[in-house]
Amino acid sequence: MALQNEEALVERASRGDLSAFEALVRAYETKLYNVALRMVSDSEDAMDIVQEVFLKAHQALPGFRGDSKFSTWIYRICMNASLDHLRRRKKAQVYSLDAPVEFSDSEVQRQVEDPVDSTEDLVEAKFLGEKLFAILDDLEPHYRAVLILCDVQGYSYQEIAEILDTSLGTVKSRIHRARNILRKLIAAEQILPSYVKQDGRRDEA
Amino acid sequence: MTCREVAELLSSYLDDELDPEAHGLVEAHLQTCRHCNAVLEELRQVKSALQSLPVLEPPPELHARIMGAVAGAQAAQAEVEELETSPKPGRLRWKLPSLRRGGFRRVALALAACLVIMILSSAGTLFWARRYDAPLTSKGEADRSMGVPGLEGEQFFGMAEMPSGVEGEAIQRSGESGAEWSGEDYFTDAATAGIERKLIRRARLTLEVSQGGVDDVSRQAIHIVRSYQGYVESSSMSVAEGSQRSTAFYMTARVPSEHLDLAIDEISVLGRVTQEDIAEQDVTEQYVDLEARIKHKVQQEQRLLQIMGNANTVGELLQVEGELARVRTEIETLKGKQNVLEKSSAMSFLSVNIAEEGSRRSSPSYWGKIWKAFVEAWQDLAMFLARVAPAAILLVAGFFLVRRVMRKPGNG
Repeated sequence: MALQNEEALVERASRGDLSAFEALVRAYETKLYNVALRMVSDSEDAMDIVQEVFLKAHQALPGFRGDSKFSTWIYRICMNASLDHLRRRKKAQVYSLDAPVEFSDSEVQRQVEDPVDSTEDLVEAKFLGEKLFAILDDLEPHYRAVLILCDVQGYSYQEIAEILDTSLGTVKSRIHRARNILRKLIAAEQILPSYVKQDGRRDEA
Repeated sequence: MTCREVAELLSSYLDDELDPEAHGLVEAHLQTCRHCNAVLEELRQVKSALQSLPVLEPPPELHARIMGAVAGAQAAQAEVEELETSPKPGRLRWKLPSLRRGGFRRVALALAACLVIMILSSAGTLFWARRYDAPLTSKGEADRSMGVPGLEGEQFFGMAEMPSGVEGEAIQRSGESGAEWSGEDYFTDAATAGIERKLIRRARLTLEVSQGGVDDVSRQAIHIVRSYQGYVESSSMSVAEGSQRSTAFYMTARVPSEHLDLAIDEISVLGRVTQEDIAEQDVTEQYVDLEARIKHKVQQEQRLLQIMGNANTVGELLQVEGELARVRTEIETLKGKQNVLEKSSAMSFLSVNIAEEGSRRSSPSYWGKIWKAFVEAWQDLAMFLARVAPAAILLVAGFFLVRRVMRKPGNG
């Protein structure tokens, strides 16, 4: 089946061609579903988010000028929707963690110290990656966002910066921190014995 | 470079996102530092754990849900656009009266009077509009049946009565143009064997039905698809809560290609067709190409079997067997592709979109639009005033108080 040119599809879809839009939906629904799923860890919520993303995209498409790539654009919508969703969920649950969540470059220690309740999920998770994400659930959503884009989706730092609408430096430091948190958690939680047996050192100098 | 500095860069190093100079420095440090190497290894394990996360298939209903929602939104958007192009109350302009003596009081009085009138009248309109709205929508149906004669409906009725020979004709036509490939040697026997053209057809149909009819019509549409030995791949029903409830239905179905036109015609008469398009993709070339490759591979398989018969040593035998396995896998893959093409061309794609007429309200009368704009303007104004009223009353009261206090010493 001939692969249609994405730009042409976007162009047609922005003129109201529903079948072109449908082709774009087909091309992106699985990817976006996976991104949303990793962000909110709930299939039903992820479906809601993806539906919302395509609704928004459909609405905003006539104004889409092609300054960025379509994929960057729609990933950005998806990330914003996921982050929004998490924010709302947080509010709805009235999480009274003693400190408000800061979204720029917030402290990590405070939130890391209690990953205990997710350890039960860990037992069931098949993949180490999923265990890690279960831990990430307790972390700053932005850390999860960068790791999803970088490791799971394979985007470059530059692209991630565009998608999250932030600077390259922020992306770099977020990835650095997020990975280090996971690395230390792995050691501390002894999720993987093989990690710890590297001479019992848990904290680097 | 110290360990601390390197540690900051290790993640970027891992992702190959460092500039060459920094990359070199980190690399040099890693040559000598066991500790940093261990950290890097841990980071790498984190990364690869995340990388190895499986890509999960979304639940099958996701696609239909998305398209249902988008189709519903498109219908709603059409309504909004219509409203935006309808006449808006003109902008009021007035000159501020001079604020010299006496002016203040007059302005204040006028404003207060306006305020009272506005609050009263807008409350009235709001109340009235609420009571009036319900009969208005149900009356809309009668308007429509008068205002919009079944123009498209009749056309499609006409088409539905056409003989089913239409498809036959299309296939015959394809036979003629098949000649363009005949220059290629593998095609000649296929052409003489009378291969028919492989077309993948995708049709999309958007219908408007009367209010409350989506449920019924969608069921009939599904029934039509099934009556032609087709099947529904996915379907969804969505309800949009806008200024009024509107239901939208979306389904994707597969219909045997020879029945596609008939099915479309039959579904078309269930409502008012607002959009119908059929796209055809010719895959004959790919199909014939696959066929030729399969034939070639089968010949190769035969030859290998012969060779295997003549093999002398175990080594030779194993080699031929390995080759044979490879060729057979290829044949399977090619046949799989051919099957997909075959199935896609045998079963056309049909997506049907059914929305309520009310959600788009195809052509409200001129006065209807004005009335709607009027009511909405007043509703908005009422909303505004309700929000502003407390502050306004305080301000006006405060203003008069201040005036009184200020004036007393001046007058006395």
